[in-house]
Amino acid sequence: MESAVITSREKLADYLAQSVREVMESMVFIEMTPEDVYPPEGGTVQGEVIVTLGFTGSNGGLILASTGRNLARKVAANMLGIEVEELEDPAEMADAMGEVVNMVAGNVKNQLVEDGWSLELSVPVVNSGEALEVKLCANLAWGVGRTFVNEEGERFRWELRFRGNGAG
Amino acid sequence: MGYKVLIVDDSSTMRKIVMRGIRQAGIEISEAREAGDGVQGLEALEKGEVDIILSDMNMPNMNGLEFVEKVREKYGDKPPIVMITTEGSEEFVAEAMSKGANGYLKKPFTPEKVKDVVGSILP
Repeated sequence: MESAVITSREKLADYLAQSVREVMESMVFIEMTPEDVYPPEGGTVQGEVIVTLGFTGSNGGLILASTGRNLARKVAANMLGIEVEELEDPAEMADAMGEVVNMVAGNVKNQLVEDGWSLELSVPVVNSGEALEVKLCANLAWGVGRTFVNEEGERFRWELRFRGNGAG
Repeated sequence: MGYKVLIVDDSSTMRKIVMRGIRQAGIEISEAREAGDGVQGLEALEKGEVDIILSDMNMPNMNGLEFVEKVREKYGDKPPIVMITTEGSEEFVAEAMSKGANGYLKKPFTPEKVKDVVGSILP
């Protein structure tokens, strides 16, 4: 028998939107507008920069963020307080993107813990390259996806995927 | 004059952001040291006293709470330590304080928040 749902998809989508906007505005200085919520789609994610961070716990899962190299470089440059052209080491972009996902994941985790979930964060894993494809575990089927767009029309895709049905 | 500061964080980006936040808060720094985890943080302290430590919580090798414990075991009540974390629960704050932390900075944060927290701890 499945446990009772304590966090709905709608709430999860709100947690994600609130956390992404707060981190992007206060630490990255880029305003991002959330677009429609969608259920997690399929078992693969494609992109140029893909970051994953696992949640361990009774109903563990992961947070995933993917975007293009241009926006990822802007994120890193803004966080470091430099121009995009000054960003020379790809490790700086990877480190900054990992930290953004870490902060968003931490915020989402805090809200889920308040709902009664038992979760711990792992460390972010950043992959970057051309036409990357990341395969996700098939049992991470419950959750939400949401794309955020900045003023230049660049998109940042985020997903929260968990085992189970939102029972914490 | 100025303060000797040690930033302990596995993210080089966060180390730079924290240092910039301290400077933007108008707190003068005479010496800035950086370490990538608790083990390196302890090594950095062997090079001489600092006025304040700002340490991340989630780090490889030795996490922030273990680092605070080791610093308190070896150096006693000084220097003050501010934990930097995405955690904001009462349980976490209580645990960090019980291990010897003097304050905490919840990510994401603004320079004003850095000023409030660090400024309230430094003499």
